[in-house]
Amino acid sequence: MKRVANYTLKHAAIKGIGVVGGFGSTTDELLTALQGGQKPQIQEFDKPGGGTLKAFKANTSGLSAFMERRALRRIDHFSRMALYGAHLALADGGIEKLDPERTALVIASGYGAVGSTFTFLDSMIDGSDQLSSPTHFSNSVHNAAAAHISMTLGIKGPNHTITQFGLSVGSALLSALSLFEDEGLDRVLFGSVEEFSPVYGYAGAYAGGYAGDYSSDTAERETVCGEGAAFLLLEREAEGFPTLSYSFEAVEGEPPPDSINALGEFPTRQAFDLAIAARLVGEARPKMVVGHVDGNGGPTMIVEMA
Amino acid sequence: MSPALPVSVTGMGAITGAGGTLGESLDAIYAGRRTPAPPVRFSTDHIDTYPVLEILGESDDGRRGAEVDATHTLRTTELALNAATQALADAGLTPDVLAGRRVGVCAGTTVGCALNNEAFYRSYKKGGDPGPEAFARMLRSNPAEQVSLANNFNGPISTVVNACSSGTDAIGLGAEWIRAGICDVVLVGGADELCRFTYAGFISLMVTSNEPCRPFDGKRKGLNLGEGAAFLVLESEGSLKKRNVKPLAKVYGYGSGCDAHHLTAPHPEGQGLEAALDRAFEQWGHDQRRLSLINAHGTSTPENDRVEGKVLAGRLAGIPFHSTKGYTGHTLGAAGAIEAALTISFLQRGVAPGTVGFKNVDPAIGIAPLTENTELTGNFALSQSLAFGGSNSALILGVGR
Repeated sequence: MKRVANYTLKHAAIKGIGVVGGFGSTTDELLTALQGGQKPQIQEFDKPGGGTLKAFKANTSGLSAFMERRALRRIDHFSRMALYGAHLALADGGIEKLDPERTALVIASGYGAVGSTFTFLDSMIDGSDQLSSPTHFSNSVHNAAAAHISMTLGIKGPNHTITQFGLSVGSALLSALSLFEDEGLDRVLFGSVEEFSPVYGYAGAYAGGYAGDYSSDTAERETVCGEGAAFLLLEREAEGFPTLSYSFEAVEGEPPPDSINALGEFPTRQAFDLAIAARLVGEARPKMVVGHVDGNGGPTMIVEMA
Repeated sequence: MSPALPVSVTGMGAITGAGGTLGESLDAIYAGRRTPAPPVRFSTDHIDTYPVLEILGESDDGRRGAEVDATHTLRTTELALNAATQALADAGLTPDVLAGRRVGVCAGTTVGCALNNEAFYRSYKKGGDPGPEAFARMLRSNPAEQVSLANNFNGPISTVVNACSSGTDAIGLGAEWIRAGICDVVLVGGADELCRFTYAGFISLMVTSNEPCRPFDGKRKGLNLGEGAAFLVLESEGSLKKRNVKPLAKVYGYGSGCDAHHLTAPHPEGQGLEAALDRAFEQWGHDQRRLSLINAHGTSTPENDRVEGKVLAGRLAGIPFHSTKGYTGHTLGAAGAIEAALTISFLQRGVAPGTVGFKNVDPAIGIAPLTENTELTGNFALSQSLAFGGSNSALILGVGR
């Protein structure tokens, strides 16, 4: 790859990692899947016109270890995955209670709360506009997951959700690291969340994946969709912890390889690359590079860990 | 915390339900003209009608000064490109001038990133085969990306989806890119189209009025939705010096804070808004006493105006305030950007417009917004936003009159 332009932002230490996806809910399970070991279980969904869609679905039942089931009643799958990932990151970091005012939350999501979006549309189409569901509308906004996390964990600092499709993670990370300019903040809980929808799977499968070239070939190809949440608890740079630095680069050439076989196809998969890189760097301290490429031909972002 | 470096604004553009340009919008607002009416771009089966501020007529089709294929992108993107093109022209930033500069785009939206295409989904639900075009169209419509691609920019892009504070947050986050030395120029703003999905959604929440809205009024019934876009050009001091231009205004402070209280309702004491104000004043290095105007979120919903009114009557007491939602409608992800552009314009002209629709003081608030065009004596104003998810954000803007 040819690097055309770049800059680097402040570094941050990664104090905790939380992941949930089709592979499970630990970095061990993620690593095993990435290394080609235990494959996530594939679920199949009927597709209009026949055939099936394949997807790696995340199981959030473990969230009950952190929250009462009653509190989850009106929280959809999208936000549950994010809540689970956030709780796991805090637990991994040994954090029992956050300082509400000195903690910020930044979330990346390429597609947002697609389940609630279509459920709200169902309520309009199957019922009427007058009977459309306020609960589903409220949960359909892209920042619903951020809202539920802030309410559950009491995070009162800046709260941002960023969507940039295939570049969502890199773009959100830019905002997350920028927040460390604010001396009033000690921590940024950074994460990604993506929800599988058969509707998106159907449309995306036309071109062999979500980031395919829609202009030339719409022949259907096999795609395994995925979903999940990956969270990193970031603090100011500290000795003994993996550090993360971020470069924006306009890159010409092929993007680096990614983790599609283990996770399935979805736009914020790079957050899992970051999570596993942080885990490996924390153990052996090599330097790792994770690339973020915008599928529509936009710029590339590079994250380095050391 | 030491004050942050102010960031220069060198251009602005907007398209709103009040006018096809920022200038046209200002003319309508100062004249007290507003045109809320039932939606015409889509139909609904609601028994009652809820007026909106739609962009109709020639000004909604395509951005000014550039071509756009209306079938290729969402209308939100067209609105974004329209306002961004206006802003670049206002700043005098041509492709030749921008060559060699690092240019980023940070934009807010709500609708511009979601697949709520009803025709596609109805066909899918019936077992049809609607194809990928609606999905592909959404992927082609990310506002920040499209503004960047349309102009061959080479810097970072970020689309902020913090619901109704997205536009304000996009400006604050983009200003940080200038301060951090990441960009020489950043286009910051927001865009949102009106659609049946959001129309039905806000009505389902029972926060929409069946009459023209009445911000802060004792008999207010709810909001009127709107649509539009606004962009500001932020520029580094180095870039300004290179082309020997003076800024129109500056972003002096930005802050955000979260209520951590409720998915759609603000904290009853405005805790998140107070936190956002704390951060914005810290960045500015001054307190509210130097402000001469507050452009309030002022949606006209009972809850928003009560909570915001509490803060306005508390720590911000005595500072003239108004809401422009009666003229533009609530434009969701575009609102903060449109209101920042309007607020700078009010400071430039030295006159703040009144709050259309307001008549009677709400005893629960106890204070009244400006009700007519009022001369301003100072150079600094606050523009603030409250949002779903408990997000609150505030901008301190100033001009060098």
